[in-house]
Amino acid sequence: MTAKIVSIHSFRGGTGKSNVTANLAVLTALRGLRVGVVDTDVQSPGIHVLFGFDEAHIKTSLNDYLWGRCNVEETAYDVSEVLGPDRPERAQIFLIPSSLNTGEIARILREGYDVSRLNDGFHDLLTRLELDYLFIDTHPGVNEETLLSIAISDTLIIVLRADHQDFQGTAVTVDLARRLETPQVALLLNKVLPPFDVSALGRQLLDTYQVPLAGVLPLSEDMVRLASGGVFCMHHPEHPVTRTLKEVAAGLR
Amino acid sequence: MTTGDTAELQRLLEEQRRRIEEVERRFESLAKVVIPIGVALLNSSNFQELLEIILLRAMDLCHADGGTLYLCDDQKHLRFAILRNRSLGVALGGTSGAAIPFDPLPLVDAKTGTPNHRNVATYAAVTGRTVNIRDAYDTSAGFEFSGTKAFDSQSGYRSMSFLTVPLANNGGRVIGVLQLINATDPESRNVVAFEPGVEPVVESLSTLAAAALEVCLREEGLRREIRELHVRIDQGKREREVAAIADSDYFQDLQRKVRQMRERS
Repeated sequence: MTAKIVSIHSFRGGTGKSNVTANLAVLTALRGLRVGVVDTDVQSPGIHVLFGFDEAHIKTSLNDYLWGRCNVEETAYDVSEVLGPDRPERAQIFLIPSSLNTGEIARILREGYDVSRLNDGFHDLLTRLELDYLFIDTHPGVNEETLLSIAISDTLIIVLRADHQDFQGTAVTVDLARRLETPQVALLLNKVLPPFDVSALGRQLLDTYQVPLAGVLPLSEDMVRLASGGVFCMHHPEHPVTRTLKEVAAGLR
Repeated sequence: MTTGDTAELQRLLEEQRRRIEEVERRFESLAKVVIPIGVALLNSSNFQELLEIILLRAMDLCHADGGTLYLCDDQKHLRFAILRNRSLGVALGGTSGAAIPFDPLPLVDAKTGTPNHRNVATYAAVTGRTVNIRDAYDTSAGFEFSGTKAFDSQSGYRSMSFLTVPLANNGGRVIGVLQLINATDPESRNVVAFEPGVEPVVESLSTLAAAALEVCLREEGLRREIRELHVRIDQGKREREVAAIADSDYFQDLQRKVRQMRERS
């Protein structure tokens, strides 16, 4: 199969985007696939926590690659342990973390970086690590690297909550993705409170954005309890949230 | 010690014994009646069901034949939320689904603009005080019972004793009134006055009821807001924001490069 790039984006922070990314990556890997997860949220990195990856182990990060200090594959860490002992033979998952060093974060904010180098990095990761899927956890909002991620992705998943600011911001992101001709765009409604009329809202979302709703995830007490203590689907394999995420993962091109 | 002293001592001891018994009885009511009702209230999230539990349990507690629970939604009126009368077999409001045909009672006198102290229920609502009336037809208490009397003349009922307790929330704001009618002697089945000793127990129950009703109302409001949420987009803002990004050199360059890349693959 041709390697695929999947970007997970949200217009605002706090939508559960990193959680969705980590879970989709794990559920995809569990299908016996090789998966990479890039944390391009260089301003506030965090997805490594979900994989139980100790930041003390970060020798070289995405930042080092962006400054030309190393090759991109040197920034990839095998976190396949998260897949548990019964993982299929080929299943593997690599994490490409951003630096947690405040000096490095400040430098990115101050100087920016060559976004085209990020693009090369994504493609090098796909070939050199023989990945089937590369998941990109983007920074919330719209900036150069999120636009690049959207542009080069085969699939863009926009995570949103049922609130007016998210509805408005998502409209902008969908329009930009359409102009960049991203082949597959889908919405994932997260943190939905129980009495929602999901089907009515789903119809409204489809009418408004003209893109499919990949899934609806309720605000789950179990998810809140796990906090960022792990990848949810591994802790609750039979949970309705996991079942929905599995369907979303299976629907990726 | 004189005979008089002994008699006085005995009287004091007897009074002390009565007080201890009263405290014990009150404690037992709280432990065996009010707390289990509180638990039942916690387990119900349906508003109509909650109203019914509050009223019926309070009626059981006081052996009352009837009762009404009023709510003051707008701080201007007390509306009849649920009404029950066992001997008449009347069940209106609550889970019965039957509407209550009585008009809401104004909390403020329309003519004078002063708090309405005429009805016992509105008096309890505006003053936050419990009122225990032995006989509604005895005018010495100074309340007007025209509604009650009209109900009685239509139904052949005889409303007599009334215990009216405000339902105040945590901040002391009255959100409703619980009114129990015709306390009945469990043995003789005669209508009697509400025992003053039962008042603090019903007041404790009312505090729990007010808290449960408030939580339920808040949840219902939240649910309604969520259900009625619509996807509304400011299209002008959307177009402006998209244009600001899409017109940038970076975006157009990206668009071109991606198109070439896709054409190649």
